[in-house]
Amino acid sequence: MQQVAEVKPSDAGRAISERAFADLLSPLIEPGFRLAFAMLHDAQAAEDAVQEASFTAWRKVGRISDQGRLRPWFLGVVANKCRNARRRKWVADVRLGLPEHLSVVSGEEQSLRGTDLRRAVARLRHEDRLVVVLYFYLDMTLDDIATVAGSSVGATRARLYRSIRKLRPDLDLEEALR
Amino acid sequence: MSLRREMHSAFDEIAPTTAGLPERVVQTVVRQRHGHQRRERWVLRIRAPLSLVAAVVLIALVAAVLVSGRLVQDWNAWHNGVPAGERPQTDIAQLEARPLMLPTLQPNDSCPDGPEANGLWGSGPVLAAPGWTQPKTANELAGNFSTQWGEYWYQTYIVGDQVSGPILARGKDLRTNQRMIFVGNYAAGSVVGSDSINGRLVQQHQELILDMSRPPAKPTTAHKLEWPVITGLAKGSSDCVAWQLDGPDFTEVWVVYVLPDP
Repeated sequence: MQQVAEVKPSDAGRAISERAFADLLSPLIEPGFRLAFAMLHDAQAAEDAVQEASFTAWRKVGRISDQGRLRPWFLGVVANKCRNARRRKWVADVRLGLPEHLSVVSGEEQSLRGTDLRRAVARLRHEDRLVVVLYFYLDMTLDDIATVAGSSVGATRARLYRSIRKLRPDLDLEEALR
Repeated sequence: MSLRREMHSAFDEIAPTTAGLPERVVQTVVRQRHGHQRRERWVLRIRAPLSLVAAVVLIALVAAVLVSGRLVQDWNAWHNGVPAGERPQTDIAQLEARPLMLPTLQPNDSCPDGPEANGLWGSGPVLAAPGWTQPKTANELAGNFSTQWGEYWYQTYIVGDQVSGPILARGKDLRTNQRMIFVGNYAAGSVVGSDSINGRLVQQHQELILDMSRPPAKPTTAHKLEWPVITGLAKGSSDCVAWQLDGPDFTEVWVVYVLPDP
């Protein structure tokens, strides 16, 4: 798992320098983008979500006293931006459910299985999709996922199990969690 | 192939490269930050004379509000015989008089959760999302937290700005019949208990009032008003809880299935 750059806690105070901020934020952008992309299935919307989350991070990073929690905190902000992005889209479209065609369709999509899996992930509720993406795509631990989701570890585990059942009803849980 | 490898493969094959993205994002934030600082410096230079003007304007505004408020009250009393300010209380009393129409489930009944779409509870005019839209802590993002008393959830209630009048929210656990409580700015009705949250003593109420004439913020571009709310249930609650929302011309019910620990 990617580690947050080492910055003294005092650097993350209100007068955080540009250099310190860049050092803190840079390693988080790529996982933030991967999370947003898997949640939204749209590269531009994902970049917008990460950019907005970065503005929020700039305003609030000084309040995070434990720098070890910065990564899950930032991913939580990204997840919230993704939810708002989907909500805005829902409100604007006054349309429920999954669009027929996802907005990113690669010309190199070779695997029908991959397409099916992406569609299945996209059909999950926001909270279910979040734990699935964080666990299977960002390879995070349940402890960190619980922090991102603002939930207990037990509830996060239960949500993950249920989401796996929705994705692959016939898959053995132990096999799926490998 | 394991689900993890399938997931990596499924998304990596369509994910665009992130080369240069961290630098681009950080530079945009820093540029924005400089713009913000320049604005602050400009504001500082003219702050002294502006503060005098602001003080005078503020005094004039307060006087105008006091005088006009008095005038409006007199006008209403003269025309309607009902003093201004009493109308909302009357409306709320009418909503409170409506019975709570939430069922009690038998032990083997399944939780009739819904309506829910795209992560939002409800079908309107009131919708709810987990978490707050302007979070200051990780919990407020999407979370719940526990105290010795029980469990609380952060929620955002979303109402179209065309809805008028107060909206009353009440709720209960459908299996244990425990009443739901609300704390914070929009909690209303009699105090039924207290708890310590983040070191602050808070009062618990069984009602929540969304006063559409006094929203917490401007409507969003989609003409929605968003209300940050904290809801709680005492220890011993079950996996099935419900809310009843009463407005001037509607009654809405949400039922939520709470995930049990495995």
